[in-house]
Amino acid sequence: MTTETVHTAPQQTLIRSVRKTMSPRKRALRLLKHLVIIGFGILMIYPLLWMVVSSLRSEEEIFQAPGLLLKTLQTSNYVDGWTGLQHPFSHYLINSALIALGCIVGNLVSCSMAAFAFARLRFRGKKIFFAIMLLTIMLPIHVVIVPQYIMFSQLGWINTFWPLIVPKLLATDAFFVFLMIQFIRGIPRELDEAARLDGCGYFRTFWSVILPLMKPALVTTTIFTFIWTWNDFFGQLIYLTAPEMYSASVALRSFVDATGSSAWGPLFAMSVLTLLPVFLVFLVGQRYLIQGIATTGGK
Amino acid sequence: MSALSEIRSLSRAGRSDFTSEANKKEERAAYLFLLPWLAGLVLITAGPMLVSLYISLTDYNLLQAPNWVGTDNYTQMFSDERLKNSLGVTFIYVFISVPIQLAAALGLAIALNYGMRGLSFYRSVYYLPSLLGGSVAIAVLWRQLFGTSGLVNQGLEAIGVANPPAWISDPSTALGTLITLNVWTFGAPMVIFLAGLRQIPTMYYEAASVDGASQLRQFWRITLPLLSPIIFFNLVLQIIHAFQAFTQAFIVSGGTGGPSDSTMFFTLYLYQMGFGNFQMGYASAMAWLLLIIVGAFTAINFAASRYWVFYDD
Amino acid sequence: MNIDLNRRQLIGITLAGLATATLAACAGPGGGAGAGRLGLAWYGGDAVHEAMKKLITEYAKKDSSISISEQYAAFADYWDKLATQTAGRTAPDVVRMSMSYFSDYANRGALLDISKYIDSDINISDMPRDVAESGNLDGKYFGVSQSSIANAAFVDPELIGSLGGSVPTDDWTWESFADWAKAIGASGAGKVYGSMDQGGNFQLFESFARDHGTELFTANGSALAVDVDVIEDWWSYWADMRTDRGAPPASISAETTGFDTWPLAKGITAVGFGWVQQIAFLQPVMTRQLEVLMPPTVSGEAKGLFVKCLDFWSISSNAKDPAAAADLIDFLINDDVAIQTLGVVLGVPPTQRAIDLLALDPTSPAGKAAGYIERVRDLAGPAPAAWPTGYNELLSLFARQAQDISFDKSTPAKAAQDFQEQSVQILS
Repeated sequence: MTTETVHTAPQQTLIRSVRKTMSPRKRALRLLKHLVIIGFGILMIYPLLWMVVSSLRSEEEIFQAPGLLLKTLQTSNYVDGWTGLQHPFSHYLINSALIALGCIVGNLVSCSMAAFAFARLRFRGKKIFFAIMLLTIMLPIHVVIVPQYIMFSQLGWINTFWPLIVPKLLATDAFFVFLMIQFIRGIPRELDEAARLDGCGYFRTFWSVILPLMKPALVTTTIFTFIWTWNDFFGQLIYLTAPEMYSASVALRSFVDATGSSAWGPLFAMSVLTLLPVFLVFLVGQRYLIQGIATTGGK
Repeated sequence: MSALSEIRSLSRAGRSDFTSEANKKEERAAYLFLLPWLAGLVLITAGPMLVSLYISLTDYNLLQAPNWVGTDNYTQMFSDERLKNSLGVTFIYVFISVPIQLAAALGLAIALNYGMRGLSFYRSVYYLPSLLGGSVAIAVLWRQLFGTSGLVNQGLEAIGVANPPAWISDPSTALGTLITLNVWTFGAPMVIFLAGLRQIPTMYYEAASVDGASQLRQFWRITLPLLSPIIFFNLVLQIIHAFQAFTQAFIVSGGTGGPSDSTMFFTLYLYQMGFGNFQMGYASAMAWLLLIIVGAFTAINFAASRYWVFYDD
Repeated sequence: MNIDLNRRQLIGITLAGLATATLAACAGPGGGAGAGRLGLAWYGGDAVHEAMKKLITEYAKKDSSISISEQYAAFADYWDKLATQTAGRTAPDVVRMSMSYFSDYANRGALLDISKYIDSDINISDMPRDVAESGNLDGKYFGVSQSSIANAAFVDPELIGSLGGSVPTDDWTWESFADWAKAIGASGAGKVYGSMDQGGNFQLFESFARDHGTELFTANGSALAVDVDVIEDWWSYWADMRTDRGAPPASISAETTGFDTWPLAKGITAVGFGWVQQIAFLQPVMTRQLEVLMPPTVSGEAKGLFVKCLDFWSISSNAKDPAAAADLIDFLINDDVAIQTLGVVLGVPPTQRAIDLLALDPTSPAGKAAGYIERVRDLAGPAPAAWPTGYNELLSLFARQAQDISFDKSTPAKAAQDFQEQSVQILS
């Protein structure tokens, strides 16, 4: 069995060879395609640009200027935001990072194990277990959070990261289990059967055949777990009580209060800062995604 | 560790012939792999779910001990006009935004995968709105885009449209702007599609090219069938998520579901009942109604998947 | 064997579920509090957090035997968290309590009856009677007032002047107000309207109802006391205002969320209404100066108007050391340093002593608010009793009915009828 890292898909080479002989009409069509995609791109990038611009604006301007033109440069928003809460904002970013890290490890390990069992192994109760797993993500969080809170408070876990991380270590995020199941089922079964014939046990098959082949799914899981944990709010609000435990998303929300005074400038400035790590993780992660191993198959 | 080596030796012993002894070993291995998930189900997920089922049969108000009221909460739902309205709003949202969002995500994933230059740049750009999804800043942005004197209307007025709609604050268009917002955050399903496309073994395409199959044919015969498990995944999960849509409506409407309940999603109403009006019993009953509805849709999806989802195993 | 284990586990799930189901029976650890520790929670924005945290440092200097662990969040988030914590019996010892939720929490046993600490540990004798008694529910104190409020009209004289209108005075009636607002709307040429739409403002409506001779609620809070015709009149009044540009069209009013989105702040209307201390939140998001007036009345006499308290300091019923909590509350209300540190971030202070101590600049937003309270205190009628359980639900129902009328989904008569009927269910 051989695997090979493929940087350029064969289709790309195909297109490139065709391009030399392209007619003007086809060229125009290609140009149009690019224009459409770029137009789309602007539509997509606008909110981020607007956020960055807003974070450099005075408060009145934030609400009055929908455009991207910057009249003044209010860098004080960043200073105020960074120092405005009890701890420097980095403190909250680190808390968020710790939570996210715990969740990523948890999801990668526990969900891939469960997914392997569901996708490849035969056992009694499989269908029922699978149905139960999907059912667990169909109840809105608002009705399970109170019983869950009471449970975790009995354990003395309030104001720690455990209520946020431990569930992930125990594969409660059915989204990722299901995602990985679908990816594993896309891997030709001959590959792991071949491994089994070579004398690999279930664990070895999982570890050295399935896991490497489902790298795109693992990268996807990493990216999404990071982003969703980073942006998640409700659970973190409920479980983290002392300000030194607040995550970035909870800290951000304490800048604004609909019934009182709000600090919109610092909110925007810190929102931009909070987005940076997410964007970086996505940039790095998606590079892995494209390098993802495409099997050439064979034995 | 010893358990693992045990499995290994056992499976080695049984590999030549698939006897019932081997079945047992396989089953044992399966439960070992499932152990974290089973523990999570027993210790974390199932308890609160069952408690919420129990709460749905009480008058629990969060602050006092619950009293048993039987199925009162469930029968009360039948005469709740606002609940019916919120179901209607949610159904419209699910049936319009999910197909559009998935089509956009799939279309772009394929376009990006087929050798667009600057691939990673575009992919990142298209993902941007999804990063912003639940941010408080989105509420401000959406008002500035779709407010009565927002950017959209400024544009419309510039090209001569008199009295453009109020979008976000008009009951007849507010839901539409939320659907737009949701479609706009198609990044997540797009990335999953891309990951799925990357996983298709290139040997299939190579073989097809040798046979002289056109690109279109390759798409229909190879890409779509092999991607179908991922399409199915996205369809099932996006429907589940859309039924539970909450954050965007909450943020954009300031938690009211307005104007005039036009963006009052089912879960938003449920949340207002539970936390705003201290009717957690009723909210829990609503949650179980939602579970039945979403469960039914998911079951239909799985039943239908037999006809169009192709698994390689 | 594995299977058996799982079956046992499944039975375990059910039992565990039912065990936790005795929700209120299980007592968790008190809100991070034990001997010498007090939990203190509040809601608000940036400014509130900053002032409160300084105050905690000040308290440590005063009483080093107590360490305070604080929790804070924005208004909406705060209530989700507090409800959950109360359900888990882990609510912080001292909590900021809003008038809207006061009865909900107090009547359901979430707050401690602090009557025995009043006067002995917590001095409320400096407060005017109406303000002090706001925390009294059926003869028991459940909260200590931290602010005094009254309904007020916020007026933008510069905008009015630019449209050639005359700036009104305290003696306007609803009738003269309507004529005035429509005149502003007429000269505003579809860009400026007279007043923000108050059809959905249940709190201003309370003054209107009292002007008609009844309280909003019956004495025991179990029903509406106001006549259904008065509700219909109120909504018809605002429907008429919208028709003649006295108030903006429904879609503009529906854009109102935070203070930055108030049509008054955006220069779309010349008048807005709210609790008087809100001028301190409005002014920073505007460039023009606002003035404070009494809201219009029915007869020219402001008997419908009232001064009371909006927010309280309360002690949660699971507090381990109520006496220490009471001392903290007394500090928050009466200590000179605390008064100076807090300033007006929680609203106009409840005692005249505090207002004098702050020596506010009468032209500042806070100074205008404090001056207004002084001005109307003797003109206003007696304060109504604490709002009943379910008030918050009524508040949003009222706003929603008003919005339905403005979008032609209902009529004043039908909406008033609906409101009356649903209030019976909510208040029972």
